Amino acid sequence: MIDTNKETIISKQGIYLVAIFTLGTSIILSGVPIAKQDIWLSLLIAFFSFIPLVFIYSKILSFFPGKNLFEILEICFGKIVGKILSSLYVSYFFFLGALVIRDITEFIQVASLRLTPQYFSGLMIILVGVYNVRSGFQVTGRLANFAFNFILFLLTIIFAASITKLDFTNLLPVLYRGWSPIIENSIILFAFPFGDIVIFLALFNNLKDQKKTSKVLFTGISISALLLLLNFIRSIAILGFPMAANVYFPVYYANTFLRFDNILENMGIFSAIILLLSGLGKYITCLFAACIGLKHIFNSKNYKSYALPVGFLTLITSQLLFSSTMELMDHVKVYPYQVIPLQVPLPLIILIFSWRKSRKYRKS
Amino acid sequence: MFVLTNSLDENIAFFKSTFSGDETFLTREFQSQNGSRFCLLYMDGMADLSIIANTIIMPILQMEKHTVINDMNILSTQIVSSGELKKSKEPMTLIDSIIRGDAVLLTEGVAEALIISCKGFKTRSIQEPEIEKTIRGPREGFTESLITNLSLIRRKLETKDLKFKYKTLGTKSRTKACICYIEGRADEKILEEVNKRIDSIEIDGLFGVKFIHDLTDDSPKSIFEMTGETEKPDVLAAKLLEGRIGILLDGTPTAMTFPFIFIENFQTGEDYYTNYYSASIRRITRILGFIVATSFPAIYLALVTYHKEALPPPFILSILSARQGVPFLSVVELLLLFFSFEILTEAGSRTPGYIGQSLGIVGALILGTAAVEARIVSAPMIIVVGISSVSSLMLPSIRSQIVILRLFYIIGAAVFGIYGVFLSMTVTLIHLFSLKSYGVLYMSTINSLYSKDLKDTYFRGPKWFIKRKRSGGEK
Amino acid sequence: MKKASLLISILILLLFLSGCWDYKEINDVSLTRAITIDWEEETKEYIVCIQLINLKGMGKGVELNPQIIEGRGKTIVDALKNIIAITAKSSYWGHLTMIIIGQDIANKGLDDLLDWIARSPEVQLTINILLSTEKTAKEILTRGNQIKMVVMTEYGMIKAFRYISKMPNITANKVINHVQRKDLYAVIPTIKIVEMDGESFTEIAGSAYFKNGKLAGVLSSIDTMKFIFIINEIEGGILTIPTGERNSYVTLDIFRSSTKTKIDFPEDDIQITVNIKPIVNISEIDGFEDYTNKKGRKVLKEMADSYLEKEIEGFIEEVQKSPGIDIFNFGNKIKKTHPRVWKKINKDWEEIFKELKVVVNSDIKIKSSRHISKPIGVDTE
Repeated sequence: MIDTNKETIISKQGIYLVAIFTLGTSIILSGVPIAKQDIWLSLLIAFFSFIPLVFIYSKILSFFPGKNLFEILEICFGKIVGKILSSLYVSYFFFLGALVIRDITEFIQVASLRLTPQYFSGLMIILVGVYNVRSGFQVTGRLANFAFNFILFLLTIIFAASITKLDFTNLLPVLYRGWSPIIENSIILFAFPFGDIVIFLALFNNLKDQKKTSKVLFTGISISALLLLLNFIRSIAILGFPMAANVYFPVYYANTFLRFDNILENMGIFSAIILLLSGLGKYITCLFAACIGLKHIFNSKNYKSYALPVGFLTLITSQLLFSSTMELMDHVKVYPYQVIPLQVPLPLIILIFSWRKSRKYRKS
Repeated sequence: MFVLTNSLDENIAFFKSTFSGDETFLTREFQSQNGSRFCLLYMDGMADLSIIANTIIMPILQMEKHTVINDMNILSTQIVSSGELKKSKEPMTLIDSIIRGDAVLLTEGVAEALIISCKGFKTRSIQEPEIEKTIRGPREGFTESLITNLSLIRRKLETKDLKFKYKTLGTKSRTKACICYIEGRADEKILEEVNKRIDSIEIDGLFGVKFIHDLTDDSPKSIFEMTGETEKPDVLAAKLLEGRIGILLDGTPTAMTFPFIFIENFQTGEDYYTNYYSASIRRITRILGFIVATSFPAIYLALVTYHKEALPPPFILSILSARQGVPFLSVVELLLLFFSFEILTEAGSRTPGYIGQSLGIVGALILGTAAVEARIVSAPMIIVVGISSVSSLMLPSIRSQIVILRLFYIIGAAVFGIYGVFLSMTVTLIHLFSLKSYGVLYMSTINSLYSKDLKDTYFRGPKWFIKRKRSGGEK
Repeated sequence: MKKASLLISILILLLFLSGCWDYKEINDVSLTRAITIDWEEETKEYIVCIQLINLKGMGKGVELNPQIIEGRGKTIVDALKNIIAITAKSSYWGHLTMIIIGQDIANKGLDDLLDWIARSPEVQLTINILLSTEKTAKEILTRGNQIKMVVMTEYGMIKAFRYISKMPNITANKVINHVQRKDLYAVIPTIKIVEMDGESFTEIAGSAYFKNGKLAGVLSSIDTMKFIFIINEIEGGILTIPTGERNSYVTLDIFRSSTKTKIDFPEDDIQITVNIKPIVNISEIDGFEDYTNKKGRKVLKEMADSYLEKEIEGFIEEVQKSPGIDIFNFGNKIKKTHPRVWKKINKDWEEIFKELKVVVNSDIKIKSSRHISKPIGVDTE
């Protein structure tokens, strides 16, 4: 009951945090669906191919309970190489945060507030993110708990309202274009959102019960994967092709078809709210990871003082990254090649080194 | 420093000079049958004269001739028939007691005095508190007399585990405070913390329990309060049973409880005296009312100005026709109306009796209708403000916080649409989730600090469902 | 305290920032529910008319005062923006429910219109696009009764679709999907003016079909009903079955109907079977035959089934002859259920369609005969 620690979170909150993170901006944005109506197959493939990595990540954490990614890197590779690798990861999380902000503000500008400059929207969001980071990780856990329940509530309403509008023949014919676009699309989905889970290596040393890491990660990802799957299928069923392939935000457009007679004309707002909350959750996680990483690289006392500067930098970066919506969407195709090295091979190497080092570590 | 001497006159002279300028200080000299001189010192209006007459003066006057007074023993054990008496040699204590309404008895040849309890000042009788009315259940409320209040509590919890601890606060006001708790229920660490904080209070005068709150607050910058208040002994007794600690101050009919968690704002004493279903519905209504009171105006504003496509077409027509000719922006209308409502409420609470109550309602109706006719505001806006304000009246303990939150959300909506509303809500949530009251999470959903009592937060559990006590505290 | 006052002053400043960007009161936008688009060949301009929902008066005596505003431009968006010059209010398409196009645009092609609908964040994809069978689309607005139009456009014709099925309930979304894919054909409802009682009303009935986004033909309202049967979009309506004796009919009221199209390949040939299963009530019996007793119901069912089958098969044959376009999108069905076959035949589909054998099977279920059983004309003595 009486708890003075501001950083630990319990398993349930961890699961919700992972779930919100995975939903992230993918709940509205699906990038460019190369696989057209078979995109749900790509999602399934991406999900199942990612599962082994969940166990790799939790194994790494289990070798050094209570230590986060940056500390593990230094233990395994020594101070200098460790710090270099940590910087790599910190910049990855940093750019991920900027990307998330850009996704959210792009959506806001395209779909609702056309005249509001993206700097302003972004500023509002990062300020909330910075406030959260300064309040500690435990607050994030509790917030994730609350927000995810709310998102589930909205999603239930949306799904219930969609039932009459679904036309599953829009999903046919399956595999008309063969497997190659599906595989191509699944690589994209593997890297974003699933691959980004690597970020939790930096944060889950704060999980109260260190033995439950894999369970938390796995449950969180599964819940989100299921929701994303249902959402993709739903938007294709409602919109049909080629409409669903041409719009930037198919799920949002699908939601505009739904209404409560005489109460709510157009449920697009629900998508907007969900995107805001889950995108904010993803951004906050990125900010945390980046700040904690910086703390370890520079051996500072406290990561909280990094929050505001890093926040501002992500805002500026988010605007500088792309000069138009089209560039943002094109980048989706390139993204996997930029980040998969940090998500797959590097953690494998870390795993091998951790295994060796942990034997020495435990002896000492 | 003055020390009591054997000489009665010297002693009397000391007291007279201490209280010089104060004409309510009275001295009564009298002699017993064998010629011993006595003197009674007391404060006019504070001491009860009939008690003095019957329990002090009469027995002494009727004392047998042969009784010799060398010290206060015989007097205190055999003669003075008052219920409570103490011996003291300390001048400061004696002065204190006289100020508090006790009588001090001095006699020739003894360098000690007797303090006899005979407080007879008038206090308000036990009445139903104005702001915590119940329809069913006990109506007793605390009064300004500390000792009466403690007795009211004692009658609710007739157990030996109920402990009262006195503290004196305020250098000039010397107000008596009392910490009460149930041993074994209240957490040791919290008790320690409470004692520490109260002992460190440095202030010259304390007249309300909220003073203590302000001086010991966990999060002074937060708009939310970390302590609860109640004027009813049964509510306080229930909270004590749940492991909380109460503090009462002499001169205030309000008791303060801590630790305090957010969910307590939605509970009233009444809930325990009505049946399970109606109490649960009322509690849910209060929580929904909180949400409506804070967010409804903001969401309405966001929909009407930023996200019009979400509104049903007939509704758009209604708003369009209602806003014909209204010069102000919707935001401005909202803020104006809320401000006027606050003025009316405040004016209503200062005006006496029935006028005050009607002022609120009639004022709102008439002014509102007139404003719509004058086309300063639009009718839908009045409905929005009305619903929101009435909902906030449901929750008196967080009324001021609701007003602040509401304003915050409206600004969020005006600046950034529905995104602004939800971002500001997230900010309040972040703030709430990081608050702690004496180490307990403010947003804890477990109401009782004594973890057996769980089923009583969102729904008021039926009594057979709330598992009852087991002695031995839990950490 | 300093921090708090800083925060509060920032909040208040934020308030003054509002109104700078997207904050728009309802009174500041031009609300419209129906727009018409025409194309003028001589000037190569688009003519767009909006029905502006305006209010007259203030306070208690507010009245609806819809006005028609016209804008011209080289492109649709150009024409729409020029309207702002007249209304002095910013445009708002969030509550647009109907777009009425003229035949000239239909002949020119729907691409730009659909592009605008898809690209604009405000235009909902659930709106209806209608073709005006009058000379221009503008006439629908100018000749029709304004206030009645405003009321009617509140939800488009969505609710009316449920009662009679003489026009297809197709949302812009489907039209876009069908036009974008060259192998699909789009069908939209048609609208015209009728004069009644000295006043003009708009009537939405019948449909028009498009090939490659260009107008290819018009169907009457009766034919449209047959069309709707085939594509499984019937939600209500009536069937009038001639009984064969001296001009009397039995009227069946459709409660629900489902159509399943089956595709078979007997001997390398394609056969399409359309199975229609309407559930009906008898709503009016004209004449002296009792169709409500057991024998009568059997007779009625056979009559109705054969009537329906004959009519619909006849309709399909007509369409196969002229214009010879697969407006029923049978091809798409084949693609969905037998993609490999489709890959082989899709290049020749137009030719194949003209010779296609389509069999219609109808299986009517008569649920009830409303309040009375025997018709009034039957002698029960």
